[in-house]
Amino acid sequence: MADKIEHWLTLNMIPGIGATRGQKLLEHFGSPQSILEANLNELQHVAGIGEYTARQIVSSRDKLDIEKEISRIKKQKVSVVTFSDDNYPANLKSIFDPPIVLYVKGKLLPEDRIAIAMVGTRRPTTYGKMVAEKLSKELAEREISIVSGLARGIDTSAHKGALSCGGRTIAVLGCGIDICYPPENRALFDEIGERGVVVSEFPMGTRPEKMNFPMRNRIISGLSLGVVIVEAGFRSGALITAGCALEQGREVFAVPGNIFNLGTKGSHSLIKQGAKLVEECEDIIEEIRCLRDVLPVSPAIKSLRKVKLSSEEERVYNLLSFEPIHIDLISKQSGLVINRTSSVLMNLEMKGKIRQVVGKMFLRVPEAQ
Amino acid sequence: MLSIGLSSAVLGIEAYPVEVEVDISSGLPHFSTVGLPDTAIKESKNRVLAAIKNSGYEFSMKRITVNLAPAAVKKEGAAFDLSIALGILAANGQLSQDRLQKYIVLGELSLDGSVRKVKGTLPIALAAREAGVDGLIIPEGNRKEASVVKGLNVFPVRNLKETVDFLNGRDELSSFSIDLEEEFEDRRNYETDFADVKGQEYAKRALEVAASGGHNILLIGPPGSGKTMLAKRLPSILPTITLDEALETTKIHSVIGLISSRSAIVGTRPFRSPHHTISDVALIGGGSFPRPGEVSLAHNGVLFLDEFPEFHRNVLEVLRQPIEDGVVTIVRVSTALTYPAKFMLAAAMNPCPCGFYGDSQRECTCTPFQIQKYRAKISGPLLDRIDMHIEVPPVKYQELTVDTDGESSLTIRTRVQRARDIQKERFKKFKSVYCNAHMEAKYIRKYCILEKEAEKLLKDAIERLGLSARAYDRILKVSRTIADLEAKEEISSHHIAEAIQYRSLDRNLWM
Ligand SMILES: Nc1ncnc2c1ncn2[C@@H]1O[C@H](COP(=O)(O)OP(=O)(O)OP(=O)(O)O)[C@@H](O)[C@H]1O
Ligand SMILES: [Mg+2]
Ligand SMILES: [Zn+2]
Repeated sequence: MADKIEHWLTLNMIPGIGATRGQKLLEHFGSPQSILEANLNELQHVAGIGEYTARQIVSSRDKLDIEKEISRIKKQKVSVVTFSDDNYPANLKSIFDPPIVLYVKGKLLPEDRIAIAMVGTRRPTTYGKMVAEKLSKELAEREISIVSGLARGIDTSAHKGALSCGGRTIAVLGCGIDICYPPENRALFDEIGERGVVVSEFPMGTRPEKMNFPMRNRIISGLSLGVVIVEAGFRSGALITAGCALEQGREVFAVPGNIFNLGTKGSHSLIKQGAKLVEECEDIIEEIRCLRDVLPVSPAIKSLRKVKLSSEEERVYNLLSFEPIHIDLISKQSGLVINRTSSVLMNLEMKGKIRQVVGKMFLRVPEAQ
Repeated sequence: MLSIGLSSAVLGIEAYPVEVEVDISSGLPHFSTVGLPDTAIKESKNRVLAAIKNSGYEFSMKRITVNLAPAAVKKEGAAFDLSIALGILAANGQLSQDRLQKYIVLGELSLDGSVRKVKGTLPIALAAREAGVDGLIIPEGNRKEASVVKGLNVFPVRNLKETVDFLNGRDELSSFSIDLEEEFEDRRNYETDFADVKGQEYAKRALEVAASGGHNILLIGPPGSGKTMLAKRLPSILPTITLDEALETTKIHSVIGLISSRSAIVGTRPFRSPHHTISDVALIGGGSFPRPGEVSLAHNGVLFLDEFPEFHRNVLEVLRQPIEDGVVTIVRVSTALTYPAKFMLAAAMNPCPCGFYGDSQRECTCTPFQIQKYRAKISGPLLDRIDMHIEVPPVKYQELTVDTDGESSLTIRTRVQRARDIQKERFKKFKSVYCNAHMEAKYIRKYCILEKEAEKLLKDAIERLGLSARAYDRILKVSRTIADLEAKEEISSHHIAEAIQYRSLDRNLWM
């Protein structure tokens, strides 16, 4: 008996069942329907499924409002691709913990197998944005799909770069596919839904919780043959994606940046550890055919020395990077009125945290190591 | 026969009476004038004689002598034409002597007898009222300007014939009057508004501070960044001009004939923007027939010096006196003239000779030495009188295309006015000080009381940022204004911090 979409969705929605346990159950029972019909005893004897999870499955499987989920899916013009479907992405299938289902806006194509992920900081420098847009465009022009996470900053630039030349791009979300996060990327979201594809493993209405993003990251790398890190600080999400890529046997690329910029510490540590340094898209393309080296990631994290800052100073400081930006922009982004911004900047300058350059522009002073 | 008529001329910005004596005697035809420079005599003679003939009066050339008394004071211009023509006709018996002496007459003649606009109407009208004559006969184009003076009968005329008919009692002219308050009210709107300026929040704030304290300001930015646009709008955020101020300014503008025939009074604060090739005399006033310079035309308004470093050094030097005293004194052998010159100085310059130093879009092609030389041109005593220097970045195309308006000039002006009111109260005992910019050292100590933290910040800043000791007083004055904008008595550290930002040239960011 063919499994219905409902069964897949139900399985995916049961609390406590993620991709790993879901795969174990599927291996054991063969289909979602059998899982949903199994009794407690059968369930808890599956390797890796304890009594607790088994109870959760039994207690919640009938309570889930699957009708509602289906109607939301229809209403949002979303399609669902299950692990058993033919059009389930081939790259993703090969990872250790592939999603059980993918909610999809747009269309997944077989050509998407030739994909490169590009990720980086949400607070990029102008340089970082330029690099992301340029590389992404050049790769997309060569019919390589660009995978990223629709986040602010580098992700946005990566998607835009691909779209700018009519190329393909895939956005992987850390929330339900009916939610656009960050909200300012609405137009981008819609455009990708039309000209590329947006995917998520999360049920409709799932909020963009912090814990979702590492899971999302494994899909980004999982969909791709390699991951390009454009600007990443220590402990950044982009480094987690790089870590996933390595576990999944994908190639890792990193673009070098300004050594004074803490926002490139992560990318540089990857390079030190063997990630391929990228200056131009050829550097990526020549690797795609032969994926070989796997490198361990163990970024040494140095804690930054702290100077006491007021909350307004903190707010302004966090906006600054190693690329000078103008006082008007700082005021706009911080939400502080211009005279307040002006005095806060002077105080930060006096505390030695930032520097002013010609043109009423401000940037961070590199922290002493 | 001899005739005597009345006219008037301007010295400085005041008018004095001139008697126009015309004597006609038999003898060889000849026309001579006393009290006018040679070139003017020749031109005047030709115009007057042609106008008389072309207006249809019989006149056969005889020996004519014209004396413009006091003859010792050399007079300029063609404004006596009408008076001289009337004098000739009177001396010739074609016009009533009695009535001629009851009016002050002013007007330049065309060859066809029509009367043209003259300069200096307002001061002359003021003097005419004092003289207690029956009225002032002036060219029609000057009628509004003249009627600003209440209690004076103003008779506008279009041509010689009309004037003669009036003085002969053949035709009545109605005197012209306006409602000054209404006229003033009608002219108070500025053509430009801060709402037109997109972005530039920092620059706008700085101009608001400058306007609030009367601080002179220097704008530094690449070509096209909007320096001129910003400076042009500065008058519109200064406190609304009062009627008295407007009359002072109008008087000066009247002296050089800047008042259009359609307007009676300058209702807005003036904005004067002389080119950098201007001579020192044209800037400051003076000359062989002394006239007010640009600094006086900017009286009660803004003097804008674009391309600041391109002005000749001696030109900039002469600016010091008016900036300090609010008046220009011109010393002559016999007299000393003063022109009011109370203005706010706004200057603009590029960051370097090529203009693009520090611009992210374009590359600067100057050597450090060239930049240094360029900067050195504006250093020294004049720069010392400029409290604020700000950098104006080029606004990106995207920002220019957003259609959200900035704050209107009216909104900003309301805040400026409030800060000015506080200052007026503060300085009410002093005659020459009315805003923070004009505080001398002893007042700075008295009125710029810093909170402890503010004091420490200023001290640190002087040390750490390499600010000159000169900057110290300027920062105090500007921070006083910033505190006034918040209606705060004491100056806190954020006021000081903001004020330090307005000292761009003191920082070593440029090299
Ligand atoms: N912030 C702005 N908002 C709207 N328009 C602007 C702005 N800045 C510049 N412009 C436009 O650009 C033109 C050029 O500006 P402006 O002449 O004031 O520049 P400038 O800095 O004085 O240049 P220059 O050094 O060449 O004299 C303005 O007339 C205006 O149309
Ligand atoms: Mg200009
Ligand atoms: Zn240059």
